[in-house]
Amino acid sequence: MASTSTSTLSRKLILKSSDGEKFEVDENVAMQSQTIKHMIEDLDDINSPIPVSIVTGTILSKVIEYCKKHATEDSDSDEQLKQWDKEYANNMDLNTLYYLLLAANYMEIKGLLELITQCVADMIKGKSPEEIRAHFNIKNDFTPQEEANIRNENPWAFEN
Amino acid sequence: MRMKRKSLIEERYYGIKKRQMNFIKMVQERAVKMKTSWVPFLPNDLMFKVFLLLPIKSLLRFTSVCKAWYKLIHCAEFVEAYNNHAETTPIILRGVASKRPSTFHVETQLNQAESFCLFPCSSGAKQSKFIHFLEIDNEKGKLIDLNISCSGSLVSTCNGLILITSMQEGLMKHSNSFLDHPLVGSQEKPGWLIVMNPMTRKLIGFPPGTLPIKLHNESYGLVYSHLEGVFKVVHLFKDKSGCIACEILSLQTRSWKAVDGPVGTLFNKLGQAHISALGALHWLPGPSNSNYIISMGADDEKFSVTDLPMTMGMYNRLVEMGGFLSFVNSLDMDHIDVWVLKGLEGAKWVKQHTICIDALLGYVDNEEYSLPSFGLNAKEMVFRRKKRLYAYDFELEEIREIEMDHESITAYENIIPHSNNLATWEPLEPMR
Repeated sequence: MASTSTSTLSRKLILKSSDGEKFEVDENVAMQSQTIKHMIEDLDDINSPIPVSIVTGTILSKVIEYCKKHATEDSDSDEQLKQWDKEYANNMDLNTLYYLLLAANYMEIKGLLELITQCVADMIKGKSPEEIRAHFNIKNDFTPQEEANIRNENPWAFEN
Repeated sequence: MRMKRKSLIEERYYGIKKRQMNFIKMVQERAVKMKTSWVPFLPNDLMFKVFLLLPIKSLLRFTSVCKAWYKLIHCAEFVEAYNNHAETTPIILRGVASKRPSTFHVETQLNQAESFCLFPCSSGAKQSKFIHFLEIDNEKGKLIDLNISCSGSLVSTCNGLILITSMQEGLMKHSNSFLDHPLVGSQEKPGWLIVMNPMTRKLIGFPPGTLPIKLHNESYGLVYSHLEGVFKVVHLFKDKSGCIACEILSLQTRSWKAVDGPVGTLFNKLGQAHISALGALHWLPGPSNSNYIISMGADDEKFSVTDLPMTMGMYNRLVEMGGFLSFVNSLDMDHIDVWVLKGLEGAKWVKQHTICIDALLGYVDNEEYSLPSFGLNAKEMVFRRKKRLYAYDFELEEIREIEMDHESITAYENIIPHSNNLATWEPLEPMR
């Protein structure tokens, strides 16, 4: 353990996605994930690939893109970084966004998790219950009467 | 040691996470099987995080999506987390000229819930005022009509709940005479105290506390004890001997109990507005010229005296700001001082901000208007000038007008700080 904590930033790690794709990244990039940080603290051999079991290669490459940007702290101002985050999130389709959210949660990357959560909240906040059900493929398990009762409690919430 | 640590970590990442992995695998397999590109259903803990960021309007709408979402939004953990960061959305009671269908009338609803009639139907609708809230977002203000009416007065707000006193009209004839025999045994019912969450429309009624020696010589306030997790109605009143007595109604036990009132302090006028901040209720002993306030802690239910940074004058105001107590002094012509008190015992008032009148210039040309109305959050304070509202940002040191959409507030409407959230006095189900 002592050897890992005194290591230089240039050390490389290999991350392996659920579909077997391998990514070589700088240690400080990978360390933004608390999950990976804890895993490598206990690894004797850091040269063997670290499995990121539930994240596919496509998603993992996006995660790494985010971590790379945020690993180099000094290069950008907060404002520039925020702008970058915004564009990064805006370029995702919905499907990617949700899998990214799952990945950020699993890998414990606080900044990415906050960014994507906010992005998802902004996307769904204006939707009607019908749109939400279609969007998340949720079955309406209320009886018509139950649903009407909930609507009547707060009719203003259903107005535009 | 090493082995132990490793096995713990393995358990964490290969044990606990296993459930999540299995779940996601299942979702992925299902998606492949169905050959559709629908988005994965997010697990509850992620939905929880997303829901925390939603405005209350969306949340209330989403309770009708499915039973699982309804449960998640109304579970104890979520309600607590959500309420902790709900923003200030002040409440205004206003008369509305036209009658609307499906109005939720507070007193009528209470009668139905209690299944007997305390209020004759005719008096219920007569002087109704409608509850509106003022949504402020990016310097845009919008009055939202909740279509909830009440005949009583809104006397206190606390953590998302409101307290309405709805006194029977018959009592009003006593307003100028001392109540030597305070209506005990008379046929007249004194009225009703109503605690309500205007968002969820849940309400509960209680008979009022001891009648004061003279009508209006009393003050009702609502507090929340974080220690006990209980809302309490605090009633200060002048008793027969002319002393200030206090009794507290716990919304958990739903019964009144007498507590020691503020000893040795003099109230000139009870019944004026109190301020809720720092987990306590605060009263000014008189309209002006006092240099202290009387506070009652929500947890210990004890009264204490807190000195003000200077004597309260016409141009000073006490407001709640971001949970703290704030004393605003606008006596000087060229600046306004904002003092902040961050604790009750031992804490000192700190002059936190100085607003140059320059910054207000063009907006505020009279001392009268440089009095604050309410703290919007820890960073902004709202000043009011007749129908217009101005938010002063302490960080940017700028004042901006809050542009009102459609309707503006009228000059004499009372704006009461409040936050719209999911608060309730009822025990909630845990998340599972």
